[in-house]
Amino acid sequence: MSTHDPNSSAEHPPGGDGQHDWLDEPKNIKKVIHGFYVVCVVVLLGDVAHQMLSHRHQQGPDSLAGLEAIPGFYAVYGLVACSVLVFLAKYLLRPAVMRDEAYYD
Amino acid sequence: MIEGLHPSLILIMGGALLLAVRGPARAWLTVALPILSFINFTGLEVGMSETWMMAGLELHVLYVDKMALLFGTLFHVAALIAGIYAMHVEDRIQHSTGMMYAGSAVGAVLAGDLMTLFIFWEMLAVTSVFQIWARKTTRARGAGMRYLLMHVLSGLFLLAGAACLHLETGDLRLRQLDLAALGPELAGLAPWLILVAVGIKSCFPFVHTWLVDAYPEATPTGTVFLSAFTTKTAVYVLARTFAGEDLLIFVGATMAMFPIYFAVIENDLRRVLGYSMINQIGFMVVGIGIGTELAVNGAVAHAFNDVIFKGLLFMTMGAVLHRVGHCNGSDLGHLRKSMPFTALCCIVGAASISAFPLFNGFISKSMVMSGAALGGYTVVWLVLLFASAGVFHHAGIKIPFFAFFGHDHGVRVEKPPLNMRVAMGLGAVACIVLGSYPPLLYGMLPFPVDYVPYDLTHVSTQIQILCWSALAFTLLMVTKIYPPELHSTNLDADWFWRKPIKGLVVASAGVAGQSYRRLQSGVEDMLRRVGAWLRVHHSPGGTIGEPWPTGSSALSAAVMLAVLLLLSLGALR
Repeated sequence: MSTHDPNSSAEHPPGGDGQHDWLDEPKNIKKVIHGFYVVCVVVLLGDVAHQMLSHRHQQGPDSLAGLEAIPGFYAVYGLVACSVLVFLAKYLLRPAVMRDEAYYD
Repeated sequence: MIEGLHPSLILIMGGALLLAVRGPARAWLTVALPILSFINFTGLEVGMSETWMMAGLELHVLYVDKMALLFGTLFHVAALIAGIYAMHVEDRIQHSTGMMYAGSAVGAVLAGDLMTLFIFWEMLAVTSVFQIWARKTTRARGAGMRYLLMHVLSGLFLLAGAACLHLETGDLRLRQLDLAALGPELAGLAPWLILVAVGIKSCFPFVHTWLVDAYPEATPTGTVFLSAFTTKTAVYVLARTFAGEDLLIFVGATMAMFPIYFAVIENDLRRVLGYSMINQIGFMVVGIGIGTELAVNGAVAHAFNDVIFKGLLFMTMGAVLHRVGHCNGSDLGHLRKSMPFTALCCIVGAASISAFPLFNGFISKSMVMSGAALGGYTVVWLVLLFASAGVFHHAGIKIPFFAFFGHDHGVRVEKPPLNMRVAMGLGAVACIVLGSYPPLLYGMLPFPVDYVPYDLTHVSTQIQILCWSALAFTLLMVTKIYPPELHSTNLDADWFWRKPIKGLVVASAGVAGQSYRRLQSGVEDMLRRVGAWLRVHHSPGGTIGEPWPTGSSALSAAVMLAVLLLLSLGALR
């Protein structure tokens, strides 16, 4: 198996370095992020419209039917879930379990 | 189908033959074997069975139902893709054991009784460990040994369970078992022993660590093989033996939940995939635990899809490892320029595992969730929804972002070899075809399917949860709250046996060694003394060695003869 030392290949990059593409521009990355914010808002508004016009059908258990019917339930749940996930992982789990890379060696 | 030849043997014997083949022929045979085996496998039909008598045991070496056919087909597809992916590898051990490993998995899903299952179960362990050891690093050697120990232990539990069941009932057939039958008799103990065996192999919490320990230490191609067979065989056995067992719902929900936290802080991207694999198996275990036709169908369909998309993701990360030499999120980034096709395949895999509409995860994960909803499992449903958002977060975004986008660490490499790209392409196409045309997979499921994945509500709610999960990632990255990737070891449950228990064993071995040495020197001392005593008395000048007078010799001979005479008389009487 051949692995390539990144340092040696950096001098003669075979992977098309130097081709500055659209995504390399910081302002374009900003554009992508802002575009994505717009998509998120559109998706949320779409759900509000969907609920008002034709009620989406229930997907969760009966006990959550009321909660689930709130427009934007899924969007907010995704946002909150991922934020909670990252905060717990960063501030609770990492301090508890993180050790030096050579801990077991 | 070849009469009298067990369908697993083409891969197993062919794999053994690969040891003797050299050069490009071996690589092509690695691809040809799964194809030949699959052609033979297509001759199987539901209801076929074969029984062998062995040492007084009736072994159902072949039992074919729809579920066995589905898993058998899946394992052939996986073996073919992994075989193509590994064509460039110049290591006959990896090629050979890889095919034998695939054959063992095929054998296990066709097993109709616990003894046959046990044989293939152990073969899975023994053949697969070479994919780890082949990396030839100190870490790989250690991880491989721990992996082997766990799997042999699992096999022992399976054997013990089978023995208990056989002693009590005389019936070894693989069938639905009941945990509630627990009692003092052996037959009540058997289901629990078998559950532990299957639990170890399917990564139940606390015994899951072999996976995240060993998979990232295996070779780039080895992990692709490993990800396909072992855990899915376990899921298959779980579905055959414990469908509808309530305990599994809670075990599965835990499995879906806890690994995602570890995945967020893990730096090695193949280990991140290992954690996300446990998370996906969690969905399957929940489905099996619910036990309705919809839920079991969902679990089985998700197992099928998981092999494809997780295999694809492991292939893309394997390609990165192959070219860059490591797989650490902290030192990668920007590889989309060096490896654009790999990046594209990784995005397809990420979309599939995150259950984007039109990708295969979408049509199976929601079946399990619907099963939970219809069963009225409120908390479990919320947990699964949380886990769905979480998996997108850590596997769907983190993996492609840190490897192919993100900060440029100056890593520039060549494209991966052609065979690797072909295998990744096949995986990616399979993800899209399976996801876009559900009847293909639904038609193979064990129960009839009336589930419709593509309706406006399901598609729109799924897009909402995914978009807003991505929004969370974006906001946390922009505000720099997202935890940076760091070189580190994150402790997991295996800490207990790698540190305190190991310490205890080493210490007690020290004490035992010392006691043994003391005992040894005591015995040696005693032997020396006996030797000296014998030398003193048997030497020419010693009491026994010195020449005796004729009279005393005759007297002692007479006494001996008299004793002999008395003894003989006693015996005669």
